[in-house]
Amino acid sequence: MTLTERIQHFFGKGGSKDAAKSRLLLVLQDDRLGLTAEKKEALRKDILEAIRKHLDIDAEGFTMEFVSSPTDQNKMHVSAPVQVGRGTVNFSK
Amino acid sequence: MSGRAIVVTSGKGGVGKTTATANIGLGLASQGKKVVLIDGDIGLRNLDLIMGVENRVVYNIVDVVSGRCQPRQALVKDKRISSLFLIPASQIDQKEAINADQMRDLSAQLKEEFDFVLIDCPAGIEQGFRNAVAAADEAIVVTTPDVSPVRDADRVIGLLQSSLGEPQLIINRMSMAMVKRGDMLDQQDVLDILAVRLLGIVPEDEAVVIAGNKGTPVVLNGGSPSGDAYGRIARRILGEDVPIPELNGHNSLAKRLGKILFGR
Repeated sequence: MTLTERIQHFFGKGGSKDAAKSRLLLVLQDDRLGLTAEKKEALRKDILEAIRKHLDIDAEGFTMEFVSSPTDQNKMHVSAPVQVGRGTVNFSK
Repeated sequence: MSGRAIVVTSGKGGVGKTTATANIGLGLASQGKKVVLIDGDIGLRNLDLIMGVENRVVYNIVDVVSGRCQPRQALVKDKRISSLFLIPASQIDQKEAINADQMRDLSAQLKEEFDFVLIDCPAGIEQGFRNAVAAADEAIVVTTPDVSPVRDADRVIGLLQSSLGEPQLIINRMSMAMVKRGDMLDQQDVLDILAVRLLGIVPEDEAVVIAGNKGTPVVLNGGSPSGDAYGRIARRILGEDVPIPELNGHNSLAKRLGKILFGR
């Protein structure tokens, strides 16, 4: 155990509870939204298709994720790398 | 008179619902209230055993709702406090032996005579859960600070919100040593995740096991950390403003330094 880890441990930081909390927040988000892995994939495909009707985007780099925090509102983050002639620009929304 | 019917539920089994029901019931009764406990876990009768009155059971809840006996005949009187009674679950019947309307009627009848009707809900979210919730006006959700009970508690809270409104939370079996090491969710973590009102925290305590062995719930023996916690919970249910002691395991100096160094 490094000194930093030891100090963190003393203050109750760096233990397994951080993993518990982040895993729970993630899984509960899906539970609360009623989103199964299947539904999520269907949503991802629909969004990808919708954007592709209008823009040339890179399907490989397309991602969709949900972000939650106890204090902030829950958000859906969609990231779509857009091909603009020369090179790729990543617009995140 | 119309009493308050409260269901004690959790989703996940084994988190201490029955123990909580027994202790809250005894806590309320020792404050002078007339209390009846209903074991809603049909087929898996346990509340009578935790209460130490298993030898006095004659009739059970299925006998009552099916008209084989009067509710009065099924009431098992507590041996310590005269204002506390129990209606045991049936051991041989299935959960389907009772429906939600029957439970609602029984609860309404009991509320006429008792200040509190406490319903020990079975684990899960099926028929037994729906019956217990149908009989209640308010809900207490019990969880431990572990991932599966918290997840299941969240599910149950979601289900309760549509019927009984916002439940109150008891966090059971909190180990101060583990919280201190950062290896257990603390009260703030659990509240961040579940976003409900905290009714109390019950520390991990060997006295609960011993109490179960003897059939004398911890709240009866002052001085045990868990018994004192249940005593405070009972007073909070009665509307007293009893502060929840900070049981997050940090001493104040370490906590203050931690805040400065790690921003929390």
